Amino acid sequence: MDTTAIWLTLQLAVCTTVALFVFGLPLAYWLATTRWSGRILVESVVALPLVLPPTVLGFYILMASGPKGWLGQLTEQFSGSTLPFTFPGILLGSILFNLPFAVRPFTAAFERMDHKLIEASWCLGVSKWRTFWRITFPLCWPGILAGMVLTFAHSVGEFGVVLMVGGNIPGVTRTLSIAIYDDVQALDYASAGRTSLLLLIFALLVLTIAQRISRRGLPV
Amino acid sequence: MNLKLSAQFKKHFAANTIIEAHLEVPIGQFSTTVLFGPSGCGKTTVLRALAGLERPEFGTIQFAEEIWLDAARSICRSPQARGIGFCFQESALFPHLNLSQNIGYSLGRKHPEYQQTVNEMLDRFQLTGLGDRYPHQVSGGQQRRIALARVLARRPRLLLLDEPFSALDTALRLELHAELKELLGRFQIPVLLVTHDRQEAATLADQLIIMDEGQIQQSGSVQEVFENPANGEVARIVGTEKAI
Repeated sequence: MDTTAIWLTLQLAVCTTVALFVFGLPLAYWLATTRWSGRILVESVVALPLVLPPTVLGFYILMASGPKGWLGQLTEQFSGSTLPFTFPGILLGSILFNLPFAVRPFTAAFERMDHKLIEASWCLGVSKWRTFWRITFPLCWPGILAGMVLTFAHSVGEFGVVLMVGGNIPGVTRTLSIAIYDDVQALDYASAGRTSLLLLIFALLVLTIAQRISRRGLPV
Repeated sequence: MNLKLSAQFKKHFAANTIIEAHLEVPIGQFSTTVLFGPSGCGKTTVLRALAGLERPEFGTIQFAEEIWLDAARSICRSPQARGIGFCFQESALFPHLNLSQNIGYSLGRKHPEYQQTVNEMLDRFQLTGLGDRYPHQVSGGQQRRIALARVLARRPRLLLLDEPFSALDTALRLELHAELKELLGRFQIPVLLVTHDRQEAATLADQLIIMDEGQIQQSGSVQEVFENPANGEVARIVGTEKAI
């Protein structure tokens, strides 16, 4: 089996999950608490990857981050290179494509939370920031964890965006699902079969964990 | 000293509901003011506005010399900066913290008097030995006591109580009325209590404020209001026979 691809895929999935935890959590909190009427538009943009073909998203990222795109010119100015066919490139694609898998469960968890508890904490003189970490976060943790597990699993299996933005460079952008595609193209069904089975077992395992977490709360 | 919290404000809600309040609560010494009126008349909104959880579009709220709200000048103090205690209708205890942690929450573990205050509160509220339990492991009456202890632990300047006993059965409620009056007296913290229960209002109040349909109808001592209701509405709410 292609261990380089396994390692690369894990790196991509971990980085995506961490990034979406950092950026997705404030976004989800804002979505769950704002009364602004434009919220629905933001929610639609977040949900877009659910219905948008990955190739379409990949295409736009490729256009924007190429040497002539606005993002490409920006990255060239700061780092001297562009994103396509690099690890940061597929990471960007993976983050955008996984946005709904993280932000929607996070938002749902924040919305389900009893707002009285947050207000009680404020009235006890505890700042909004501390209230978030001492009350909101621990009580929403099962939902947040479920979102992270889903994100992780989904980015392990990501294919379309990665192929569009990253191509198929071993050790750089050749993730597990691309390795399968590549093996099939090369008529190496045995190798493709092994990798597929690995991903199938992994997906099944992760879904079971995610469902268990969201249904019963955390095993304490 | 004759310090007071004075509030005049107006808040609009959807479907043309308007809550309007003109009221004064003495804060210089210990006394219990009861905001009394039928369910759904806007009492809770008034309390929430005083706590800083709702922001009225018009008006002012002043606590002695401090300005808490001045809508015209866009001043609105956060709930954290008002130094009040707010007890919700439901106990709103933090389910993931044990009773000790709930009581000490506002102080924080690093506070030099954390342990002492927590123990003292547990004793005073007859909860000695229950500090390690979680809110779902104790009775409804004990949950109410914890909610009160949690609020009083940091010695607020004014205590706001929203229907503190509505979730309890009558026998327990009567028992807690007497207990509450005695407890509040010991802490010497002025109280504004919201209720729709006539008996509760009459038992606990030093001053009474009558509210109906989003408006303050009358305020004064219990005797004043019960004997001389300002209008038919007040008479109906306090249940005075004179109205008939």
